[in-house]
This record gives sequence, C-alpha cells and structure tokens, in this order.
Amino acid sequence: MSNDDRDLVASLLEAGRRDVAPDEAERQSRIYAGVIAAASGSSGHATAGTRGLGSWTGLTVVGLGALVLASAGALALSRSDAPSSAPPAAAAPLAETTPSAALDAPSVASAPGTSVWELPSARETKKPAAAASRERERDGLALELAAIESARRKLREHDPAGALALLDDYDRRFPHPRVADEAAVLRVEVLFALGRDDEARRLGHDFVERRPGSIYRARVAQLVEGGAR
Amino acid sequence: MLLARAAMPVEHPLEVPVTDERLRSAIAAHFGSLRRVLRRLGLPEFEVDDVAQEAFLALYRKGSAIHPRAERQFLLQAAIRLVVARQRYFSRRREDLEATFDQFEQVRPTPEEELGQQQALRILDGILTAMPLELRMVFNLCELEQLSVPDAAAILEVPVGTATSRLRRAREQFEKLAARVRVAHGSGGAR
Repeated sequence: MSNDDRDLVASLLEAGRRDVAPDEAERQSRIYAGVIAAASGSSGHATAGTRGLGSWTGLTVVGLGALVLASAGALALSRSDAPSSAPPAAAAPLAETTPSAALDAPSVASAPGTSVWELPSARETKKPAAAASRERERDGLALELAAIESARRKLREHDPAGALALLDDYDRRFPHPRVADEAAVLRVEVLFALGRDDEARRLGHDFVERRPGSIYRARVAQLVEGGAR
Repeated sequence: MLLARAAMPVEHPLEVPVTDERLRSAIAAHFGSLRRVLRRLGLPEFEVDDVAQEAFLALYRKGSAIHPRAERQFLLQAAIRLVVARQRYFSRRREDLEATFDQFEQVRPTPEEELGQQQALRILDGILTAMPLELRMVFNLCELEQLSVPDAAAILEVPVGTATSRLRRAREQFEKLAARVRVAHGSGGAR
C-alpha cells in the first residue's frame, strides 16, 4: 500500500471517529423522553415478550414461595401445640417477594407456632399501591418531558417567542422539576434565538457554575462561548 | 451468551429498571458511539434514533443487572442485533456489493474537491457498504470505535479467533477499496 493510500485510509478512519451529529443534545433528550414514555406506558412494545416472561417468572417465584411457606407452616402446626408467638407481620416480606423470599421462606415458617392461617392474604400486598405511585411519578415525568418537547418544537419551527412562553408555562406548572437541566439548556438556546444574548450568557454561566456535574454542562458552555448557532 | 451475564453476575433475575438518572447519563455517554456504529452499518440517519431508543429501553428495563462499565457493550450489542434483524442484506452476494461499490465510485467528488468531513464520511460509508456485513461490523467496532478484539467478539457473540480473522480480512478489503477510490480520484488521491 502506498503512502497516499495509507493517508487516505487514516483520514477516512479519523472522519469516522470524529463523526458527531450537530443536533445530538436534542436527540438525546427525545430518546430519553421516548424511553421513559415507552417504559411507563404500553405493553405492546417490541420487548413486551421478554418483559412478560419476567413478570411470569416473578409470579412463579411468588407462587412457589407461598407454596413452600404454606407447606412448612402446616407441618409446624401439626407438630407443635405451642400458641402462636410470631406476629403475622413476620410473614409480610412474602408480599414483596424477591427471588430470595423462596429461600428465606422455610426459616420464617419454622418459627414455633406460626400458622399458615395467620399469614396475610395475597390481597394485602402493597405492590399495586407502589406500582400505582411509580406510575403516577412516571406520568408526571412524561408530562414534564412533553412540555419541554413542545417548547423545543416551537424553537425548531422558528418561533422562539412561543418557545419562551411555553418554558415560562413549564416553570409555573412544575415548581419542583425533575428535568430542570433540559429546560435550562433550552432556555439558553431560546434566549439566543430571540437575540437576548446577554441574558442567555448570564443564564448559561449561572448554569455552568451551579451544575458542574450536569451532563449538559458542556453543551451550555459551548452555547455560551459560541453564541447562537 | 448474553453480554449482561458475561459482564457481571446477575443478582436479581427479575427485571428492575435502572434509575432515570442512570438512563440519562447512559444516553449522554453512549448515544454518540451508538449513532456512529449504526450509521456505519448503513442505517439511515432518520432511523438511528428509533433503534437507539430501543437499545436504551432494553438497558432501562434490564440495566440493574448490568455493570455500568458494561453499558456500552450491552447497548452496542442490542443495537447491532436490532440492525441485523432489520436489514436483510446480510446474505447479500459479493457481486451485488461490488456493483454497489461501482455505483458509489461513479458519484464520487471531483479530484479538485477537498476531502472535508462530510465527504470523507460519504467515502467511508461507500467503502463500508461494499464490505460484507460480518466484516463491516467487526471493522466498525475495532477500527472506528476502537474497541478491543475480545470486546468486539463478545458484542458480536463470536469466538475471539473468528473476530480476529474477520478483522484482518476487513482491513485488507478496506485498504483495497480505499486504494481504488484514490486511484479513481487521480494521483492526488481523494484530497
């Protein structure tokens, strides 16, 4: 291979390694929103099969754990006439069954006098409440992300004033935001787009100082140094 | 062999989603690499985000069993599987690939044009498209993403020896095709 060939190969490989999408930050935000939305919502996703399998595995473990516990409890009851001293709560971990519950079950059940009839029924499990709370939390996050995405869309449609209005609305609606960094980055971009460069720089500098560990720090610093793209 | 299992013992076989913060960090850290790999595998830019999102969703759902240092490999493996499932030209015949390369050569820039970043990427993609997918994948991971051969082998789920031999063949093919491009551009090469 000649030197020219070698140079060409090197420059092609270098170009491939340096390839960065100009709108990478925006796309990352969209992907984040998409993953959260997909994970919190639909069941008809491509990975639903494996997820479904996981859920069935979990149910199987719960069922087996309960079976082992019930058998051991019944055995203990038939062997001992001692009154029950273990509180019903001793079996409560069953409700939050993890894979280790099946292994722990015999030792819990072998406590003297523990009767299978004293165990809480499956209906008392706290899982649905926890799941509902988690769902509500994710719904809130999805709403936040949707609000930011709307503002971003306005900016893409060359309507920075509209984007700013939506960001102000976002601040009002979400006094304790979970994606405040995204909103701050977008606000810097919007202010530059509106020609309010001083304000944008001030906000950007403030962000960089206040959030040194943020993944958006480099992006904001780049915006502030380069001004509006 | 699942990479997640190879990377770290699974403590919780049940699926436990990763935290939102970890997801966000993973996207920030690995999207660029994922995008490059997907683009070099021939996926159009407008499809990249969909595939990347699928890969990150898999990480989000299974990530609690994956060591943070194995995230990139997990994501690359997931994305490559998705691409291979989508693209059916895995079994394309060599003659077809040669024909594609010939077409690519005909639309190359004039010698006077400078080899800018975008132009270099077009040439790079043209050459890679002319290579069989199994060679392209290992070349992509080792030469462009600069992963080690054992890491690439784990991602592609092939023995290290196979990955090594594919990489050698891929380099040879890449150099041969690059030389053809340079000759076609005249004595100054693609510059």
